[in-house]
Amino acid sequence: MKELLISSLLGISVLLFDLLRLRRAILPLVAAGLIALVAVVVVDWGTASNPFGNNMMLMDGYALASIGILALLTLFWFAITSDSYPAQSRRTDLYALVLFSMTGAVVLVSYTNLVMMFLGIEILSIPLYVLVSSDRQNPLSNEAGFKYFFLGAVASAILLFGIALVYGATGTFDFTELGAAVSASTSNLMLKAGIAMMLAGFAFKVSAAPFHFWTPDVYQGSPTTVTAYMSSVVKAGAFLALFRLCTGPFSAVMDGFTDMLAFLAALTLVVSNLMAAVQTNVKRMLAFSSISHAGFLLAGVMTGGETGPGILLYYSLTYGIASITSFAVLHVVSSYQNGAMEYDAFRGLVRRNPFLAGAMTIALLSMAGIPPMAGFMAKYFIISGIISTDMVWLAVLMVLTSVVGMYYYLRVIIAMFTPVENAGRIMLRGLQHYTYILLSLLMIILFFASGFFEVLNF
Amino acid sequence: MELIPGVTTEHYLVLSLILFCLGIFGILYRRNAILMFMCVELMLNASNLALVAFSRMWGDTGGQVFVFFIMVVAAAEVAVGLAILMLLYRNMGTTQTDVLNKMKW
Repeated sequence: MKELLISSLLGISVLLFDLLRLRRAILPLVAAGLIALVAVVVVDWGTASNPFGNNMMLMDGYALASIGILALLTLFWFAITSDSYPAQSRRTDLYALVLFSMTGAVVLVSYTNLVMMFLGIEILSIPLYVLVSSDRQNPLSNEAGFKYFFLGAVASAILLFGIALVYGATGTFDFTELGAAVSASTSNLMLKAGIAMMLAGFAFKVSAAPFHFWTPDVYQGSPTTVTAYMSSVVKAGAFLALFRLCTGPFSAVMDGFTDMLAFLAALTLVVSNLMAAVQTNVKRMLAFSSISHAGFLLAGVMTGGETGPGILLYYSLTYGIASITSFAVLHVVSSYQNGAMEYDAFRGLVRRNPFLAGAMTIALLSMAGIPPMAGFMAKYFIISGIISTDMVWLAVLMVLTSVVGMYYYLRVIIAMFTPVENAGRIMLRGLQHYTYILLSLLMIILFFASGFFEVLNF
Repeated sequence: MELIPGVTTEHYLVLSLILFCLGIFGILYRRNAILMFMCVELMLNASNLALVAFSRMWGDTGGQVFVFFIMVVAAAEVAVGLAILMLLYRNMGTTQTDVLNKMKW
């Protein structure tokens, strides 16, 4: 309950501070609030909590761990984009919308009722529709906003119809009663159709192929800082919600859907990696790379019943940090090149600003899964989980597509180390240097701290 | 528990399925953003109808309460969606979705 109150009140107080002309204090307020959120998670860790709101939500261990990760990722996002918004008044709206959207993610990782799940998805999505189209004069941003809004609304409608069918088959939205009703009627056709529609709706939200078509367009069209937020916090929130659903009330029937999820994961991996390899625009390449990570996360959800939530949390955290870093670097680099986002824009970056080049190299190597970056352990956990459930073909496919991934990540790194004549230096202000150093270090430290996550169970 | 004699839960379910499929068909077929938008609303209301029918079938008020939440969410979505459409109309001068082809592949 405290976690939900802190995150929603934080968004409201940002708006209040703007009204009271305390704009300079907004960023410290947000930082303090998010640190308080992490602190509350640490204090509450391991204590038994009661469900609240008439069994609507429950802050169990899984919810607390997820909220901690979401709050940390949001904090990193605020730190790394703090200097990207010179216009003070518009910044307030964006900050408040980001915080409201994070509140939706907090609901999504702690729900114990399908009503709250739907509300969480909508609280997460509606502020994002505004954020994506917030670059009002840019036709690309308009197009991205419309596509995201429209396909998001269709996905919500499909998910909702799935919920209606599940309700028709079981007569309840509550997790405990739902779990009992589902295991009592595993072969009910209406129940199966409902769960399949819910999974399709979620596949839209987490951008798994063949429901991924909006992702590259929306990621490319949105302001780059918003893309960084979408590919980290939003993605983590959606996957953690799916995990809570699949290992919770639907665990009795998930065996019947394993083939479907494995097929989705395999298709996602193949399509995204092949498409990413032929891109010329780095932002679009990173968007397809984000889809390919969705394939890994989907496999993590699929094996979640046996391997536990730890590896999914670890993957969300490591990928989130790497993607926030890479999109932030892309934002800075392209703003010095009149918005160019081709591979050539990165040429000579190591001379122009070694901090940015170093952070980008570590982030890309982490996404490619090369030790000693945390991304290696994340992929290793997922693949070993897949092998332990006897789906060796999927594991082989994962390794093969990771090799393709190496190609397009290394293209950026090679461009950064290619010398270029008379390139101007890129200046970073204030805390930004420290943020890049901190995130780079974290991506390496998490490699060695992976054992903690592997055994995490609730 | 038949409210109208002879009309059972199955009838409501079939009607809501028809509405849902009409919505999907409209989205695939129409090229005007406002009409596509109305089709999404049709899909949401199809779910509402199914929820209310099931709610009566089970004798449980949960489904009907959920419908109120869905109405609020749909209203919020409409507000944001129409704002995005306004933006689109100001920049492009049309609400036909054919103009949205700046990003491909």
